[in-house]
Amino acid sequence: MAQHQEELRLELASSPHLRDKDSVPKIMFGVALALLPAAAASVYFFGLPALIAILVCIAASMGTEWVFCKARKKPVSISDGSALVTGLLLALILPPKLSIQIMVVGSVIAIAVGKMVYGGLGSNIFNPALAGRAFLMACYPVALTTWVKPSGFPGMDATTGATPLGMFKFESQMTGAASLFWGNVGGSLGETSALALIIGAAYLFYRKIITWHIPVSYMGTVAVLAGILHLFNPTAHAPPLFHLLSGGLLLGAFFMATDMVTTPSSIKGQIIFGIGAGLIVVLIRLWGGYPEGVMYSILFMNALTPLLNRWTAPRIYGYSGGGGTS
Amino acid sequence: MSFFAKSWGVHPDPAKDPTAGLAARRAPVPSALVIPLHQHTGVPCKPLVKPRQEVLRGEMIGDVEALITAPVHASVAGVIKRIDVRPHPSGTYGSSVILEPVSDPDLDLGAPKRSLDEALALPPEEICKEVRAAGIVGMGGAGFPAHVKLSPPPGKQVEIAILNGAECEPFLTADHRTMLERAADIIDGFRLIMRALGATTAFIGIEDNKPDAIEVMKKMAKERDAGNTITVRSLHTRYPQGAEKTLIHALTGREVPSGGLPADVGVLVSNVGTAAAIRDALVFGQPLIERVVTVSGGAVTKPANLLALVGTPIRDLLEECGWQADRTARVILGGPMMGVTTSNIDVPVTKTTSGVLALTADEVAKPTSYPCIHCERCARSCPMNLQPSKLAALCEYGHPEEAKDLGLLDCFECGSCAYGCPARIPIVHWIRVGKAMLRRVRAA
Repeated sequence: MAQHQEELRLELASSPHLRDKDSVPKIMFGVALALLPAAAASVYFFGLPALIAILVCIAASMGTEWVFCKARKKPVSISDGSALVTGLLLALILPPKLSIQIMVVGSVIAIAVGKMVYGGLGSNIFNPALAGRAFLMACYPVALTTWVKPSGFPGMDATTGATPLGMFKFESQMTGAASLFWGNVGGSLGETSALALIIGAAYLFYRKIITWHIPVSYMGTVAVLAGILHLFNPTAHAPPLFHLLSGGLLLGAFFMATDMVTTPSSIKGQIIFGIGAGLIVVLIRLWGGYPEGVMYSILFMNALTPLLNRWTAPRIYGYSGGGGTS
Repeated sequence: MSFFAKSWGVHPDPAKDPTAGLAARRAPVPSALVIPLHQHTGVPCKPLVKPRQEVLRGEMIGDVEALITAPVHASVAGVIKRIDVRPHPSGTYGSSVILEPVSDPDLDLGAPKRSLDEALALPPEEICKEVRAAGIVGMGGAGFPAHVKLSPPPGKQVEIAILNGAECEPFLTADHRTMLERAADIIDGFRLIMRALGATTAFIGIEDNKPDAIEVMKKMAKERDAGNTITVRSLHTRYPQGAEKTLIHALTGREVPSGGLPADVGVLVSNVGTAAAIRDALVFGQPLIERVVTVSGGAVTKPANLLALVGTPIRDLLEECGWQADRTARVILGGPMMGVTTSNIDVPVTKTTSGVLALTADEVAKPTSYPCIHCERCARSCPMNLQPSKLAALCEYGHPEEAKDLGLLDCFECGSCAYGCPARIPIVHWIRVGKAMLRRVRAA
């Protein structure tokens, strides 16, 4: 019997002994999968340059993370899939026909300054892809606002043309909702086709990777404000549907304002985040210097997230009154 | 409101099918029983017997004078071999009575010592006294002495009594089987509990994945409770529906204040098995010396519900169920969400052993982990509305005091957070570490 006891090796472990099958890589690859329709649409509308941009941004993002991990003598974290998502997202929010150097600079900044210096995945304050784009916007303002008309595959000889938001703001030219929905308009690679983004978002909801709170409060705020202003002055202000479908709002609302790392944890905080971001989008689009404000709206609310988490801490069971143990 | 109300809890694979349809059968009497003198929350008992002494089934062999304790009894007639320090199911060592049974022992309940009506006519203090003498503790897992719960401090009236038949832990079907096979005894025991408390309202809460148990309990409540005071309620199936505080909230809408007891909001919660044990004690004079144990998991070929004597080594139960030692990664006492692992399978069944699970490496959690991505699944699943990832991080980096301000001590370690964590962070482990650090600070 003593011998039997010796052969038996039983693990001692802290409960719970069961784990759900979902994991961080599965979530990240889920987000990447949800971005595929938008990526495919970008190649369809902008041709080979779109494909090149996607591959370059992904490779540069993953390469930067690899170098960072090696330099810090930490285990390489590429396999968690977050660098893949950042690279893909960055490509989709850049204009077509950007030079490869600029894409590489953006990817390096997104991963190195946007994520790794904070301690890597989970510790960053700002959405890494948006941080990379904001940096490029400051360094290469002309390149980042030079748009092309979608010319289809292979798309090597595209001519320049403004985005629907730019055309409306600077030339008072309105783009129809159907074009915006299918995506045959100028703009960043991934933001032109509303349909592709909605398919991807539906998958994220199905996988329960995102909840409705931020996208609905974000887009709802934009729609309501735009609707009120449109009622007062229909010629100066575009209708709400135009605001919802144009620019980066869908991409931002479903894929970046829902980034778990950089948005509030409580439902109350998420709704405040969405309303705040929506407000900023409308302010920039209508009265700001840029035609589009999605990027800054999310980055600004990212910065407020730690505060929102503190203000909106949930009430713990068994305590009366406000949040926490008060 | 419900639009914004969070839906706490998780839905692990129930894994109850292997044993849910199996009636409890008696486990073989072992060649020697190891009866720990500490099987409850509170002060450990002192032995009342000496080596070579002969004892009868149900004879008291350990007790101590203390406010919160419960005596222990001989599970079977036999001879005391020695009193020794033995491995205890909790993972430590504890003073235990080693008992060698007589050959072919009598395990029947025997003749009733009084009728149910006579028992119901006893004054409340008398019921409490007999419950204490029978060594009855909460059989759901916590092991809190039942007589203490039945006599709330002066000034606190318990008007609502609740029987817990939720059994939300995966794999376990012991309570389910007890409800199906001993429904009448459970109702009788529940009426004795209500009588002792003077409770006027009574609920039996059962998860809706056990429709047969709900039906039987409803029928039996109608038949045996003429006053119609007992309501059987079907509960949404989710883990941890059967935790005391969540159960109270689901059935009464009341919230137990932080650091308080159910009695603070006029409620008592008792396990269905405990109610049956109280009936056995009051009507037949049999103390708590045996219980139903679910033996299951991927590393047993013949899962079963076994009626085991307290003190039976779990090795005997596993071997009775076709145990495959070489395929076993963990042996768990209790359920897979809150149960404790043991490295020594010679530890005995105690009054609180609801299950013995032998799980394979494929069934248990693997020790991989990623950084927290703040997905907040832990917070959404927490029945106490805590922020588990934050508590775990604070404890991991040595700030338990800060975690305490965020409700560390309100966590009852149900494990929903760690179960659902896609980063596979051992959240409950860090919370336990933090609580231990607080205890050390207080002790110093």
